[in-house]
Amino acid sequence: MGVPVSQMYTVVSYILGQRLRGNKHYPLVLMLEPLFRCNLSCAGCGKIQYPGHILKRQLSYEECMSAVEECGAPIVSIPGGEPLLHPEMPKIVEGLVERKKYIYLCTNAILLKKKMDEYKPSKYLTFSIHMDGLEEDHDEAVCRDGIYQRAVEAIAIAVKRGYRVTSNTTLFQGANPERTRLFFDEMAKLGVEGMMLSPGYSYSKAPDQESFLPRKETYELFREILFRPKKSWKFNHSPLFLEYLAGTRHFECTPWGNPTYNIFGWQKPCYLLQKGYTKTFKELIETTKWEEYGQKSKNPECANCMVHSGHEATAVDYTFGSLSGFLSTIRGTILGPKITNPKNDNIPALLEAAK
Amino acid sequence: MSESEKYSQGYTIEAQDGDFLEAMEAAVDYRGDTTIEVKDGKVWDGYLFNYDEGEKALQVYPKDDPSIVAIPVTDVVKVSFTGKDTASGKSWEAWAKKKGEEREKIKAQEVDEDE
Ligand code: SF4
Repeated sequence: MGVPVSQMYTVVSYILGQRLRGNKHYPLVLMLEPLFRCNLSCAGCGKIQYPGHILKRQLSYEECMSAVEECGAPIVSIPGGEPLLHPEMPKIVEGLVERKKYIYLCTNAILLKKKMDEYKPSKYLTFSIHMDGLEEDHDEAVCRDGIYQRAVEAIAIAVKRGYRVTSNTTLFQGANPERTRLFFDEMAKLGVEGMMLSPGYSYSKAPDQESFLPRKETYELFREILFRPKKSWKFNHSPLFLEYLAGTRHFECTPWGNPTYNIFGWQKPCYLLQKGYTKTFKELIETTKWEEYGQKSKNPECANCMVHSGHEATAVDYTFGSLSGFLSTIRGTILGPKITNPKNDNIPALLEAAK
Repeated sequence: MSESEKYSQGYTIEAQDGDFLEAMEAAVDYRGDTTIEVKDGKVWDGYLFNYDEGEKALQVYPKDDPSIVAIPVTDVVKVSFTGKDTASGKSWEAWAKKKGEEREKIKAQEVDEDE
C-alpha cells in the first residue's frame, strides 16, 4: 500500500471513534466538487453537461470550509470539473491543510506544471492525476491528443519536487488487461505513490451509454489485470477493495461513505446519482432512503455499479467491523490481495451476491 | 415516444395538465435551462436542479442571479424546456470511430510510402 502511516493512523482512529459511538452512517471521504467547469470534454463523463451559466458558478472558499467542517470526514477528494481552474483553489487547499484533512486534488494535469508552485508540498496534499491508460488509450478516453504526455511530464516534475502523487484510472468496456498492466509499469516507473482504480459507471446523463462494464465483465477484467501483480505496483486502495473488483468477495454499497457537496447542495444519494439535494449534511444523512440504493436494493441504477466511491468505504468499514475483515486486510496487506486465476470460471462474488 | 424525446427542448407543461408531476421530475433531470411562469405573472429563466420535498419548492439558479431561488410548487403555472439539452450530443463512440478512421488513414499512407 502506498498510503503514509500518519494518514492510516488518522483514518483508523476516526473509524474506531465512529464505531464506538455506534454511528452507522459515517462519512469517510468528502467528495467536494467546487465547480463543473473543465478544460477537457471526455465522452464518458456526465459531470460537465450543464448550461454555460452553471459551468461558470463555483463554490467559494467559505462554502468549501463550512462543508468540510459540517461533514467531518478525514479525507477530502476534490474532483470536478477541473479543480485547477478554480481561482481560489490554492486557498481552499491551504484551508484544508490547516484543518489537517488529507486532500486528493483530482486533476487532468493540463495546468499542473503551470500552477504547481501555488501549492506547498505537504503530507496532507496529494495530486491525483486522471490517467486512463497508456498514451493511445488515455488520449482516446479524454478525447484529445497529447494529454497523456502532458500528464506524464507533470507527474515527473511533481514527484521530483516532493509532492505526493497518485494516478487515478477509470476502466471502460474494451479495456485491454495486458495494456493496463503495462500502464501500471509506466506509473510505477514514474514513481507515483499509489494507483487508484475504478470501473466506469453508466451515468444516465453520460452521452456514452454503451461503454460501461456490466458486473461479470468487470470481475473478469480486473481478475486479468490484477492476477499475479508485479512487486513494483502500489495501489492506493484497501486490498479488500481490489479483491472486490476481481470478484473474490462481494460488498454492498455504502454511499454515505463518500458524500458529495457541490453548488447545488448535498447530493442524494451518492457521487453518481442525482436524486435531489439537501441544504445540510445532517439532512442528507437523515432523509436519504439509503435502503433504496446498492445492489441488494434491486435498484436498476445500482445493479452494475462497482465504483470506488460507493464500495471502498464498505471495504474499510468491514476491516474494522469484524475480526475476519481485520485479518483479511492484514493478510492482503502483507501478501497482496487474493485474486483468483482468470482461467477459473468460478466468481465467488457472484455466488455471494446471489444468496 | 421515449421520455427523453418527449421531454426535450421546446416542451411545455401547464399546472392543470394530468402529467404535470411526471414532467416536473423530468424538468429537474433536464440538463438545459427551463422557463417557469408563476401565479403573480413573474417568469424565471434558469436551471431547475431540485425539488425540495420539505419546503415543497422548486430550486432554480436563475440565468443572471448568483443565488438560488425557491419557487413554491403550488405557485407554478407553466414550465417550458427552453434551453438546449447539454447532455445530448457528442459521444465517445463517435470520437473512437473518428480516431479509428484517422489511424487507418495513417496506416494506408505508410503502406503507400513503402510501396
Ligand atoms: S451502487 Fe452506490 S455508488 Fe453506485 S449508483 Fe448505487 S448508490 Fe450510487
